[in-house]
Amino acid sequence: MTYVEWLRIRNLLRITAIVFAALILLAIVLRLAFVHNGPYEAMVSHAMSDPNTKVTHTTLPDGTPRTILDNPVDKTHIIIDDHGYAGKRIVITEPAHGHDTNDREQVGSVHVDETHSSRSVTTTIDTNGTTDFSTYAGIACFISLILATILGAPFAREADGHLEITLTKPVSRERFALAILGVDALGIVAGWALTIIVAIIIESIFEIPRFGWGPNTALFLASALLLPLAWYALLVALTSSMKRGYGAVQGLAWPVALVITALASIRLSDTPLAQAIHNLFWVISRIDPLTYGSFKGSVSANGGTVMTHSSDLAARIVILTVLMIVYGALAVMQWRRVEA
Amino acid sequence: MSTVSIERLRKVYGPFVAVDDLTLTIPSGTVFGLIGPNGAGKTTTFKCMLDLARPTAGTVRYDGVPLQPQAFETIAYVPERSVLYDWMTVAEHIEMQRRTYKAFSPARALELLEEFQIDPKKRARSLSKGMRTATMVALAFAREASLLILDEPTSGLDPINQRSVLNLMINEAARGTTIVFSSHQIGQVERAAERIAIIDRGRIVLEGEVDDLKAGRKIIEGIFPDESWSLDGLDSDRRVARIDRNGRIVRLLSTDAAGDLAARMESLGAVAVRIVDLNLEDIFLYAVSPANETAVVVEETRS
Amino acid sequence: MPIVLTVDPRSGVPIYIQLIEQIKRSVAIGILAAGEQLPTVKQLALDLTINPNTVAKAYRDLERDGVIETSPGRGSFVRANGVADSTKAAASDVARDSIESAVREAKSLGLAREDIRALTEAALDRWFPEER
Repeated sequence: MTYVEWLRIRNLLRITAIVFAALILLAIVLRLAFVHNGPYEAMVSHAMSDPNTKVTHTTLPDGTPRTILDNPVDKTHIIIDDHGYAGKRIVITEPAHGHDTNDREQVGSVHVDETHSSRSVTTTIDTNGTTDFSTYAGIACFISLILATILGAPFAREADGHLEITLTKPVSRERFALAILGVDALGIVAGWALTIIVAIIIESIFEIPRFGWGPNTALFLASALLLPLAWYALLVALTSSMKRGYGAVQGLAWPVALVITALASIRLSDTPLAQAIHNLFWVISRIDPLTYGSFKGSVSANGGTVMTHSSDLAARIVILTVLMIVYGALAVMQWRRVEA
Repeated sequence: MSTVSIERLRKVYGPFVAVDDLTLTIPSGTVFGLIGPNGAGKTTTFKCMLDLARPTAGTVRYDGVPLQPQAFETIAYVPERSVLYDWMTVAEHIEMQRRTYKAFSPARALELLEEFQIDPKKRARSLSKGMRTATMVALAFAREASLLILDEPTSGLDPINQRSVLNLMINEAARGTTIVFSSHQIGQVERAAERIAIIDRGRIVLEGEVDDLKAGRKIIEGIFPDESWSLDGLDSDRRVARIDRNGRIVRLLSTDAAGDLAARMESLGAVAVRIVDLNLEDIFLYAVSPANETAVVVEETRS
Repeated sequence: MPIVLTVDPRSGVPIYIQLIEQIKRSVAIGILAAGEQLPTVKQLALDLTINPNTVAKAYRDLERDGVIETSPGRGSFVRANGVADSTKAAASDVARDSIESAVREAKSLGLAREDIRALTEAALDRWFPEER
């Protein structure tokens, strides 16, 4: 009884796979084009353009080419070890510039480590460090949100001229509705998994994929999977009673949700009206799944987004699950009352 | 196989009353024709029968029990407009039906599609209106349904295909399938239906077996010597459904005993009294048309 | 089978009555011989594109009138022994209806009894010339 929905999902995943294939092809092309012209090579050229820089090329005992850039005038010393497919290790030593906290950052597979001493600051960049699995999950979450939006009006699509077929099947309306939701959810999860696989493939075109698994990664993965499902459930709940115009809801949902998030996290002025508006949108944003979709490191003073500590992640998972179930139930309830 | 009983069905859409106090029984194994002008409430009645619309009042029962989803295993419906999925091929629709219903024969569906000259590989959006109707008919008749509900199953079809659909219906009727259908082609209803109901403005105005209606309903026409001649007693006769006076010409619509009524007219002084047979189209037109200015509608009787 | 039956669904005469009359007439004329098999209900319904129950009703009435007999499993056949009577009865039925119609029509047009009798005699003279 969910054959038609399966066909829709198959077509959608097929298009997604084609887009992914094109991206992989593009990655291959870029890899070949920029093998000797990457960003670090550009950095080297830029440094080399300074007449005070002395450039030394050596080879390490294991065969790794090393480039040393020394600028005695501004006391900058850069060592670049090119491990080829295994990435680059760059050590930059510069005079101290005031901030004296040691810092460690990680964006994707690029690890940046800043160590301070009294007179200098050393920045070590490892371009092929481990990639925490959350990064892949974050990309998958984003793509799945798109898939969820596209799939997000199954009952409206049936109500748009097909009820005479859909409502004359030998199953109860509830069972049919749940089956459709289940099938769409599987499609979203399949897209999610496919995205991760494709992300790993694209990464491996450029460098060795090294997977990192931190203490919060599992929780983050769960929340990254639940977010698109909760978003899907919201869209279905909004469109279940519609026969026409549901496309507009699907299209406008993202911008509207982001505006709500924005209005919930900023205060336009100190007037009571602005405070009231802020409070109103803050309340609305609590039931907007995208509110719980921040990524690592983003913080806001007013609670518009949530920090990624494990207890916050756990809370996020619970809230998203509840939203998913409640919106799903609302959708099914509306479907029960639909008339041809 | 079940008997369908519709009791005092009422369905309103906002201020519009689509069906009002409609009571109908469709015996199992009958071919039942529903005829009426556009907007009379035929499609609404079908929707209420199939739980596609919720009645405002009244009930629809199958062998005394409300419709259960499982019953759809043996009920097939051909709606009035195309409900096919434009983006899917006809073959995919067949696969959809095969997976939905236990008793569905893809081979029979393909056979019927070939008869209607429809290519299963075509997408529904590239089919004409008639071909879409034919596709829905093929999908419905490829199931071993014990109840077929057909809303204008020949609309948009050329005469050859219309005859094919009629033959399909007769074939099913011979197997004992209950068929309820609506059609604007009264000729088709005359051929295929044993019982009919005429709906007008949401109400049943006439119901009965086609043969009984034809045998009983006649026009008795007589010419009176002058316009003031009295119809003494005829207007209160139970067997007279309607009297139309046009100057000296009086026409009675009888429900029974046309011979007696003709004799009475003669005894009242009418000359050139003749009895005119009515076919179903005539019966239908009389049932739904308002009486003319000089007519007296004595009662709308139901056989 | 040589018999050709036609029905006019648009006529005011119920279809089953048309069928009965046509079969009786065929028996009367001899197109349907004694013992000859009639088409099955389903087959006749499909051939004429009419409701099978209509055919069944006609067959039932014909059996009641002794024109045909039906054995379950074998089909419907024109009655062998009843043919002579039923032939005549059938012929009378058909003829009577025609004559009655004609008389009523003539009367309603204003002809008197004697006028109608004269017309009838003239018609008899025309069609039974040797008995004049």
